[in-house]
Amino acid sequence: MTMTFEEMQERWNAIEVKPVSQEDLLKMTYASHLPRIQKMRRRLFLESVFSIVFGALVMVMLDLFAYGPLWITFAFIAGVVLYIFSNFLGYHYLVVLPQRASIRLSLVEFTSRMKSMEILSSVSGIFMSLVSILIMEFRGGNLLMWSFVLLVLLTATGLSTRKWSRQLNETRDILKGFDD
Amino acid sequence: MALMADAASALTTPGSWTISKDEMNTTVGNHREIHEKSFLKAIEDHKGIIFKICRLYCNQRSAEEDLFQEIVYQLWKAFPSYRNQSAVSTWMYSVAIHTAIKTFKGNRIKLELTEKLPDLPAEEQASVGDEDAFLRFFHGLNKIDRAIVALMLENYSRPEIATITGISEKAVTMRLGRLKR
Repeated sequence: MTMTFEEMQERWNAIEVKPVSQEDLLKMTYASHLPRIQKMRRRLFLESVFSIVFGALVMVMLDLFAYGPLWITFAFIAGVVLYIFSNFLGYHYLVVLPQRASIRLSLVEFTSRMKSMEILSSVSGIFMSLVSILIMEFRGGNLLMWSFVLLVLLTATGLSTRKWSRQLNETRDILKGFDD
Repeated sequence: MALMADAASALTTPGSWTISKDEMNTTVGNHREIHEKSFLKAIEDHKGIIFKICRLYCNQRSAEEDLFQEIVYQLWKAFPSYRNQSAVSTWMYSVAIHTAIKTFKGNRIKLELTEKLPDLPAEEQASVGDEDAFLRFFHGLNKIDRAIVALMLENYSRPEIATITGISEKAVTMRLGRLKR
């Protein structure tokens, strides 16, 4: 099928515009109504609950306040808070896309946000692992259990970092399309 | 004179500078209302842009609805930073295309099984067929080329397309030449 520019323009302008009520439009201004964001919210909630439960379990089961210096216990709490904070920040970055002077610049900005999320996620995971090793040094105890704690931490960090890396690579691929 | 006296009295009366919580809530509420009104007016005047971008980037009607919602949300979030430096339609194209490019994940084919396909009248079948063929041409292009062709069909000049997309004017010319061939 060959078409002149005018024919293409005619068909382009004839694309159906459905009526949308103002109430529906207003609903769309709330993130909770978007299917993509609903999924992310569920995941964010589960990850936050998991982090809090995991942190609480480690603290209660190992009675962290009773052994070693107090700053290590607080460092452990800070690590959990940092992990949850990084998840919330990442959620915000994914939900509200940056809008800059051009589409390319907007994508570049998104890329730098994902890069910072990748770094923040790795740093929070490494920090938690280091704190756990320090606690292990002071508290001693079952090596198998500590290995399990470290395994959970490293898996969570790996999954989280992979999530940001995937976003980063996808956006980089889109940006490559600008140079083709 | 009376106005000046009122102003002077307001300045000298203790507590006249404080705003009550109710007044503050009303002010914030009014601000959102004004903000909503101007936003809804902009969307109402230019919603064709969003529909066109949805058709351009989605293969399925269900995906179009999701993308429509997503674009309206991103426009709403970006609306406070819109500074009238460009036409509303240009700003909307920029946000809508960026949202479609970023959130739309390729041409995924999803099978939807229905008991019976509804029959369309012959005239409607012909127009749907034409529209599908026209859109199929777009769906064969990559995400960036789709944006360039869409902007061209909206009569944007090459320098304007370059500004909106962030591609050099030379590259826009080259891509359009390649697409024509």
